[in-house]
Amino acid sequence: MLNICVKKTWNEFRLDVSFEIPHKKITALFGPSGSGKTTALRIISGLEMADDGIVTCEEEIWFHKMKRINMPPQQRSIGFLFQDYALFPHMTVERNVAYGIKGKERLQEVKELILLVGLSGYEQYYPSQLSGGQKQRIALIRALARKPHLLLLDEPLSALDMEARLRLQEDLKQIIQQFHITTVFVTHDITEVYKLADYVVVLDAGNVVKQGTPEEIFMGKRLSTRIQIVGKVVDIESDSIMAAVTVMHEDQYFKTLIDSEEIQRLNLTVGDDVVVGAKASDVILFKEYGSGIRS
Amino acid sequence: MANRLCGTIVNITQGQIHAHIQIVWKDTPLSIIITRASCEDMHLSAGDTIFVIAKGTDILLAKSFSGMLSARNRVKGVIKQIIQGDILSKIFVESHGDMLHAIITNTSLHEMNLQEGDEVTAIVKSTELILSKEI
Repeated sequence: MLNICVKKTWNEFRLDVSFEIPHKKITALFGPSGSGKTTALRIISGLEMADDGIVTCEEEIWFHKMKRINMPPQQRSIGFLFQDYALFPHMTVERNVAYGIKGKERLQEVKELILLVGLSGYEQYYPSQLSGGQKQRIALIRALARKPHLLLLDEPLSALDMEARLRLQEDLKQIIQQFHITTVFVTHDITEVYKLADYVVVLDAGNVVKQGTPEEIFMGKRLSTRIQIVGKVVDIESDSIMAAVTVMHEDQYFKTLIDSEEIQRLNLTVGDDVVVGAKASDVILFKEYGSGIRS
Repeated sequence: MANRLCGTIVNITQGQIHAHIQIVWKDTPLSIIITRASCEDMHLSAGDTIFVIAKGTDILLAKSFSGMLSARNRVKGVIKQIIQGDILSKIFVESHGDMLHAIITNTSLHEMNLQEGDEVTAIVKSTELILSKEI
């Protein structure tokens, strides 16, 4: 269990948060820009120091202002994944992954890790020869190679286009689960939270405003619709009466018809995260549909 | 936007799968069927203030309505505005000081000869309504 109870003030902004990160789960620090989520992540990592408070990880004190303890980042057993990959441009994929791994089994481990992310054959490529998604896969296994106790990801997919992001979300979850490691990632994307997180801490204006599972935080309690699907708006077509809003959830597309005034009321634009709600009684089920498709 | 009526829950009857929620909105009784699971998740109880949401496309309009009908929710009002699209029309109906709207086909609009100032009844089945605690 990672415990964070810290305060930090700079310019006009004050971060004052207290939360726990569940052991060996994936936790999202979610909130709008400027809510303090990246600063909280940097304080956990030791890259930034809080003005006051305590950070502990599994009985080990990483930061304690009163006791004047501030463990340096390199001693905190953390793997860090940045949005801009932070790979060494002059090193091959193999050398990037091997960086920081010790022992005679080193090369075998590197080979297995590269295989794990489906990039066998790319060992001698340089980062500039890889796509954004491939770079991020390499950065992820490099972060995991040293078997850290904690993995921190700062908006890991935000530099990727939507298609690459969706593909990598799935892979990221599988890889992290294989390593069975406590993970904290920063995001402002609800679909990313749904896809990756077991637990969510919601920050706003420097404070924790909610925490719980994604379902507890975003779903269910306000609306009577039993079906609630979080997705991303990919297309809006509107006439004077109705609007067709296409929403993508995982690799499925839903076309919804709403009142066109609702577009203005919700200030809805392509790329927005939305909850698609439907009454349980409005659904049709097919067991076998067409050529073996189940829906 | 969808129609939102702010009312008060006066009674809840729970069945094995469904819950029947009775609401009073401006002295008009409304009847809503939701799943029992939703009723429990939302912690609904008599006395709660609640929003009833009805999509414009789920509302029927009747003119000179008489006779029996299985739909439970009927709200009388006066047509204030009609916006005609290429296939569908949006009919704004004022009732008890609130504005509702129904989206109907242009064919129905013409067949019923709906005009601004006409008295109509907006009708919606209990199973078509959605409840919201905050929106």
